[in-house]
Amino acid sequence: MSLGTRLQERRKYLDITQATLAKNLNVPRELISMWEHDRRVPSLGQLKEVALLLNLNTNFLLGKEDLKTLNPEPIFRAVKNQYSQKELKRWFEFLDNWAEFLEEDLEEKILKPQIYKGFEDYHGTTDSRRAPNLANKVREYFQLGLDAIPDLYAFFNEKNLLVYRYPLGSLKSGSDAISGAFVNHSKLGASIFVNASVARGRQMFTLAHELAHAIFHHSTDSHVSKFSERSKKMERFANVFAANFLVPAKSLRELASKSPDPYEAITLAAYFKVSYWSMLIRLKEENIIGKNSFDEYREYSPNDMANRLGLKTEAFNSTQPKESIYVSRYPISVIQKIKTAINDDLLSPSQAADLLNIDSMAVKTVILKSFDGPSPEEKKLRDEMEYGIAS
Amino acid sequence: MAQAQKRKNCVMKWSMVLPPDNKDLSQILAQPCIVDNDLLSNFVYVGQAKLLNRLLNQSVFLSPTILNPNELDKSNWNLHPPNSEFLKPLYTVYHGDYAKKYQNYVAHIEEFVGNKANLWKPTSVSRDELALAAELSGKEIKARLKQAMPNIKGRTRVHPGEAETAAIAILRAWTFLGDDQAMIRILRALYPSVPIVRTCQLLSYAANAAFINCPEAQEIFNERIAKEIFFASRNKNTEHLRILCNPIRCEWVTKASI
Repeated sequence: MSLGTRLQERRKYLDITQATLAKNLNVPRELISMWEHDRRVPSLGQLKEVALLLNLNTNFLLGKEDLKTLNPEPIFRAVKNQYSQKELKRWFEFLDNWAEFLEEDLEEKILKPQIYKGFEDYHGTTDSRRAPNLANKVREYFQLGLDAIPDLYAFFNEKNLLVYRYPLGSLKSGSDAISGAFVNHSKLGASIFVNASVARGRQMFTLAHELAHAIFHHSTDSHVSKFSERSKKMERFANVFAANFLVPAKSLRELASKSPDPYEAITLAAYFKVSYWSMLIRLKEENIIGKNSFDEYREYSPNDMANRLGLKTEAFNSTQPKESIYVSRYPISVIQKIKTAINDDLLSPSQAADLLNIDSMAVKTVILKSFDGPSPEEKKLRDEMEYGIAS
Repeated sequence: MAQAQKRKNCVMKWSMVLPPDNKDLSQILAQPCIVDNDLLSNFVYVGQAKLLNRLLNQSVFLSPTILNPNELDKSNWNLHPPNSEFLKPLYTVYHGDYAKKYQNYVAHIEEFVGNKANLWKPTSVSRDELALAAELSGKEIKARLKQAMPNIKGRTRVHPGEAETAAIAILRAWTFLGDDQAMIRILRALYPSVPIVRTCQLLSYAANAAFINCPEAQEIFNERIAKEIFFASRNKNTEHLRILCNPIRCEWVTKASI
């Protein structure tokens, strides 16, 4: 069976049209047809993209191996949007490649994060009434106190939880958009995906939400958190956990006045590094504001208020254009490991580019610097990746 | 004298890679030459693409994963970002955050890509070349390399663009112009008849042949490429490749002696 025939059969099996495949590959539809009829041969780069999109191994397309479907399919069935599906697959592919790099190339023992240790008795909890108390227990266990967590990304990094962020589009009401995903990778353990299209405050919420899954639902293989599914029991639990984890009730009561106005709400949101919307919900949940105030305050523009008060607006704005989440989609621990491996002659810049799915110039000019030491850009990158530190 | 002694104590000689029949460099470069992304970027980014063309007296060939001629129309990039390795930095300039970072290079990249001076030619891959490229960039290459180099360490599988470039060079008996150490290691171990020529070699050849003078070659390689962009060091960042004059040559030097 030729490459073209295998490609065509797999595409049809997955009920994907040539036009859809072409669109996802950024090539003309006619080229797909030519490939399928063996009149043209894809480049290796294109072949790998095809394999990613059709969820199979390149060696099958080349006739060298039997079909091996990659990645747990249930997680992708839950995701209708083709673009989101592709990026989630790319994330999975990175996790597999990263595990291979650590284990086989660097010959290191992988230490899976054990973030659920200490909470085994609560495993499987989905009762959202228990979430506030469990959020406090988690804070206490990790000695996070009750104040705003200065840097949630750094906390995850320290706990060896890999967090990958990439823009998947905004979370419009009723949409199928994904705010985040959790996977229990067979070698790396708990790993989290955050949709970087949303405001920083919302990203923090997603992180805390996925943390709930990592601690209390860690035996689940994989899971996506969809905006449209927030009423489901497990999702509701994780949402309540996240809200209380980020904004503990005790701390909020101490800081908020008796009748906070919207400007105080935005100041509190900036302090706790959450979205204005999350803060309004917390204030209402704790009966610090009533429903009327809640309905009134949600009409205010957080950006306008933040600007008037001289607050940083990153927490309230949707983030930079998707293309700027490039090297910074990876946690600092990954970048540091890459840099060390290159300096130790265990990895070339091109190999690093392949591993991270970026170009080798970005590896050289952003991640690495010549023997003169870290560049201002690299320092800025670190600052950007550590939320809350001014860049 | 003290300087010479210091150099003798510190540096290691770096020899050109010659194929078994000892063709000299001018003959090697007279063959069709296919370029990897590293070497191509080295010359283009510092505005020396035309020098490369003059040295070879021909256009360089580029594999489709390195530069796909169907992706050159920037007006499409908003909806269809390029997959070509060489175009990705340009894409990050127009659609990302890297405009300032790459501001010194954009004009050179655009000029090269526009190809008005016919500096490059695209090439497509055959099915056999695709299969070999997939092998070189896959897990299977490790076992083959381990047989030839049992003490090999680090990552063995290479970037798809490198793999594709090398596969074409191997199967068409072309010259491989490249700097990726991982790919060069595979070629030397498994395909030793493939001529390999690196950036430093080309620039010192250019100076020897009086296309440029030695200080110019030093400025291009030592300053613009190695320091300003990046050129891989070795031995855990203790040795750095440099062009030296009198006589003109490439040598690995320690940081202390630079």
